[in-house]
Amino acid sequence: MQEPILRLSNIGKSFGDFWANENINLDIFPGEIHALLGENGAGKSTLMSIISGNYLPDKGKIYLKGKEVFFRNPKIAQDYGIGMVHQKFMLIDNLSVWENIALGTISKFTIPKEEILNKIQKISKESKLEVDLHKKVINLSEGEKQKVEILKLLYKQAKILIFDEPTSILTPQEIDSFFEILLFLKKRKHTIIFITHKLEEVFKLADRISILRKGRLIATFLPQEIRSKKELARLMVGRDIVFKVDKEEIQPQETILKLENISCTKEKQKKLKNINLEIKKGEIVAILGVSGNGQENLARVLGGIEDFEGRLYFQNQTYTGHTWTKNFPSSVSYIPEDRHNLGSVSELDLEHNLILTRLFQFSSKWFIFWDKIKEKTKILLSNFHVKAPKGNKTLARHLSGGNLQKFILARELDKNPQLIIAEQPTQGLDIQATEEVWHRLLAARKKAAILLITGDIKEALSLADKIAIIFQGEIKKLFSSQNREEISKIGLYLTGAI
Amino acid sequence: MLILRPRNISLTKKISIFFFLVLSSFLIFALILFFLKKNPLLIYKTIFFTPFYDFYSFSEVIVKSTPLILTGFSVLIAIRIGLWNIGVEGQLVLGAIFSSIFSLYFTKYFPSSTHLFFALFFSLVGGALWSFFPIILKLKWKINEIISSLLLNYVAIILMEHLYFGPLRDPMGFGFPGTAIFPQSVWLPRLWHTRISIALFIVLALILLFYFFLKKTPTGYKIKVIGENPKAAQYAHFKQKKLLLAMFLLSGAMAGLAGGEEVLGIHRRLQQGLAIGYGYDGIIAAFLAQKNPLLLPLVSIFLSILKVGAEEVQSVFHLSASFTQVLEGFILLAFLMAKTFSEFKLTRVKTVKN
Amino acid sequence: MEDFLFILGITLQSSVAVLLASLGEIITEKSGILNLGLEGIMLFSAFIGFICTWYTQSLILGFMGAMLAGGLLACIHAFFCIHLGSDQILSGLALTILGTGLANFLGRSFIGLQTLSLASFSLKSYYLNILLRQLNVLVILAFILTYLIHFILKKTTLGLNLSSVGENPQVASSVGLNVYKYRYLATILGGMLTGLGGAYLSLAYTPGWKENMTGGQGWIAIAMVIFSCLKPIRALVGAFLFGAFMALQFYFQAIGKELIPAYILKMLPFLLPLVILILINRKNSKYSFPQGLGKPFLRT
Repeated sequence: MQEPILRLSNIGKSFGDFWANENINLDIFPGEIHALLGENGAGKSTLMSIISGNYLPDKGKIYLKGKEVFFRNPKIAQDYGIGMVHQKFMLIDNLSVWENIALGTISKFTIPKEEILNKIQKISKESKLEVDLHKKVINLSEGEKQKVEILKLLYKQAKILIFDEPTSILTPQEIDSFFEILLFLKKRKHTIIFITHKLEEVFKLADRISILRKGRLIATFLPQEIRSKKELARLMVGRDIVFKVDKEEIQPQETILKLENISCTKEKQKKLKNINLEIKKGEIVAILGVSGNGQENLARVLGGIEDFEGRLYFQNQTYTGHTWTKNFPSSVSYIPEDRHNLGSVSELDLEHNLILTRLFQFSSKWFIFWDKIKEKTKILLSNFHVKAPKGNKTLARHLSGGNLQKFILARELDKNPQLIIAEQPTQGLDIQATEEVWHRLLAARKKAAILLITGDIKEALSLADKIAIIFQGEIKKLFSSQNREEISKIGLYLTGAI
Repeated sequence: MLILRPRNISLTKKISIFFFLVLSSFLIFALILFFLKKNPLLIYKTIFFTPFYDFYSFSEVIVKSTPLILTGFSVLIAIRIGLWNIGVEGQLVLGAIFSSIFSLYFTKYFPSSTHLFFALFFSLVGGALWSFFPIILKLKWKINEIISSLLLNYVAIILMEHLYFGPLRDPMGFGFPGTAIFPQSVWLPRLWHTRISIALFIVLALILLFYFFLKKTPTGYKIKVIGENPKAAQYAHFKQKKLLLAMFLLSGAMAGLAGGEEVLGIHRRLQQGLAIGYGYDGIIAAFLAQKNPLLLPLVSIFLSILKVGAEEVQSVFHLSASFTQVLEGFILLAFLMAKTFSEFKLTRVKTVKN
Repeated sequence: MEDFLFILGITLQSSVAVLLASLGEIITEKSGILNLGLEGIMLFSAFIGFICTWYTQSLILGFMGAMLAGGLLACIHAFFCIHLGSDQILSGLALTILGTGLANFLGRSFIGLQTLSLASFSLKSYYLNILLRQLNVLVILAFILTYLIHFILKKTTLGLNLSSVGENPQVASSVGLNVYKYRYLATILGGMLTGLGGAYLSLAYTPGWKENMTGGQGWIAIAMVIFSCLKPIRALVGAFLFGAFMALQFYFQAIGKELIPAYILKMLPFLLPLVILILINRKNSKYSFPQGLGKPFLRT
């Protein structure tokens, strides 16, 4: 057996009381493609950020070719030949491609442009990564940006390349060419680690597969040791679902919301394509998809923040993009993913935040009824178990993520809405808070229609009556959450495999 | 290297940090005085004792604080909705010009009991007009309101100088740079044989009104949200543009009122020495008051004490009165530093090379 | 012809202070720091330049003193914006207040006094002399500096690193650039250039010390920087426009006719920046300013 090029020993990293990584031991061998698999929040990105010098580990050691190393910053890791392509690209929009690639490596006073261009061209020809070097990054497609990121690493002679969800924002054609690039890099003796939750890719590319769950490394396999995608999926999610949600049967009633050919274009890119959907009262419909496939836009469209084309029917009224944003009905509750900057005002207290979306309920034309608000805030804080250090007067920014989410949920549910749009409602929450949010949403569907926009399969399965798969801005599939056959194929749908 | 680390400290500690830093800025200035071979102790004593020497001296503090409260109020109104009004000085001038032109030429068309009202009203209009340009440039062409409102200050002052040196100059004034004295019907009544005018009470009432407006009304609430987080305001579907326009005009109007108050209450004519930096002092007042209207009068009185003391120092020690400006600059920096240090501490981190 | 050369001469001469301050601000803003304190820095350095020359009787020391003073004030701003993460607008305004205050306070007993001033060129040729006697070595230096800064920003590693620090400090830091170092450097250098502009006023353009002698040129420089989209050559054009309006004032004064009322002429330099900002279509200008401009970047 070969010597590992990179060895992680007992790596641990915590944020506050939350351990994102715990006791991770992992060997990476030279020239292999190593897939790191896991759900959202399993700790994959944290682990890779440690390897690439973006985070310092709280515990454990990193060995490179048998020697212990400390990566205090990404530059040091780079000097050791380790480079990472982040999910959110680390490129400067306003600079050209070649400037981005060479940034930080030039030691001469004037820029030896020809020399640099020649060097990049040589690399890009060898590795078949052809990009117009003179274009500004802002004018590139996501696929091209990724090529630039790879060129950046190769230019700096990185030997170990780490990719964080490299395919999540690429089109199918771009994905194919990306795979070719990876295989080529492997041939050139580069070591590759990539983070993914698309099972298809794992089987296509990986030499070895490691699975992370809840910050721990479950196991490392060879692809042939795993019989099917299904098994892999089970390993990833965990055999048993941790908590069971009792779901009361409710007969769906009248249609609350109907979307007809909703499309949305942003910066010349079509983010949503002809979305058609119907939601009835008493029903939870989950829009399930991997991030970057348009669900963010759908949430903003329905929340009345982003314009759209097509028609929307809400409680027997017809709306266009213009009228929906302008006369946004107060009986819609939108629980945004960005709790801190969109869903609340961080510098104001909870009483002020309570009426952010409910001003009409707590004021006449001239006056705000602060007494009522005070009372209501107090009740909601205790009913929803929001831990607020200074009670009503706590500033929103002093609430933890989970408590702020519970507070926003309290605000929106108590409004007695007809329609609730919940966007990633449990992202970043601990198990207890997640469970509580789920119960609240389930209870709320008695009086409302709920659209749950999520990337979490477990969440969709536990809550939804119907599941709609969104992929590249389109609804690919709509099925009942009781349909076992379809459920078994969710992973395939999400990744666009079928 | 030095790095900021978040920390949590009590309010009293925060306040003491602030006062400690303000005190240090007085110490730094004392050092400057020392190097100029002046006795800092004597100068500080003069600054802080003169205003309390007798009732009249203190009344002058109040007189000086009245326009300062208004200009501070003007800056504060804008900043509460997230806008920077640095053009207060110019708006003050325009308010003074408008109210002067009314007082000199148009009083004859109105019954005399309404003169004062209209004179004040036109100062509001003048100030609002001058703030209309920057805000419309911002809303329509996205031109930064800081720079546009500031450049208009210079334009306003040139216009005013032209007026009192030219068309509006008092024909009987023997070349004095100023207009004729206004008719008595537009004079702001003064109280207690001092120069304190009833404008002070109008101002205090306006401040109180604005405080309750922010606190009690739905529109006031919306303003607070827009000022703190425009994205959340969009999420809540508040109509932002109209409010931005309205608040900036109101801000300009208050600056204009400061100008009206100066010409109708103090000088009773438009003359040189009107634009003496109240607009810029307003910025300091608004921030030292932590954007809280109720603290504004207190802060303004503090700054006015410096100003009244400075005048005395100027005549006794032959120092330029602009040393208040130096102190103000230091105090503003002290405020900024206190703001950082009440949330963070600066710690030294060792960098280890691999 | 004589009139034209006269106007041209004054235009060039009047544009220098604004040009130097604009160049300084361009460098500062490139690195992501907004310095609204130009007016204060300029006035303070105008005074320090004057006073240094007064006491040492050396113009070189005067200009050096002014640049040092400008750099020092800018350094205060840099510390607040970079290390303390303060509000850059407020810190800049504080600097304006402090700078003008210090200059007027310290300069009280020097008001109206004169000291050495920078000599203008002179030649035998009559026509050339109309132009040249308006100019001095600093005018030429300012134009050279414009090109030099243009070159540095465009062609050198320093320029590339500076703009990457301003655009996206996170990325710049991830490739090993010291964001703090570049920002300090740019802010102090910007202050020094602004200081040179200030000294130009008190030692060359209108020699002597007068209260508030910058008369808003620092603010005009900031407006011209907005117009320039951080391109030195465009800042030169902006400064020329300002100079041209100043020259018109002198011209009308010199010929003694009032085609345009004097007070309108005096206002024009302040209205001009607003008009050109409206006129140029600013749809694409979003990308001409660094995306990190005005935002604090704190090391962790």
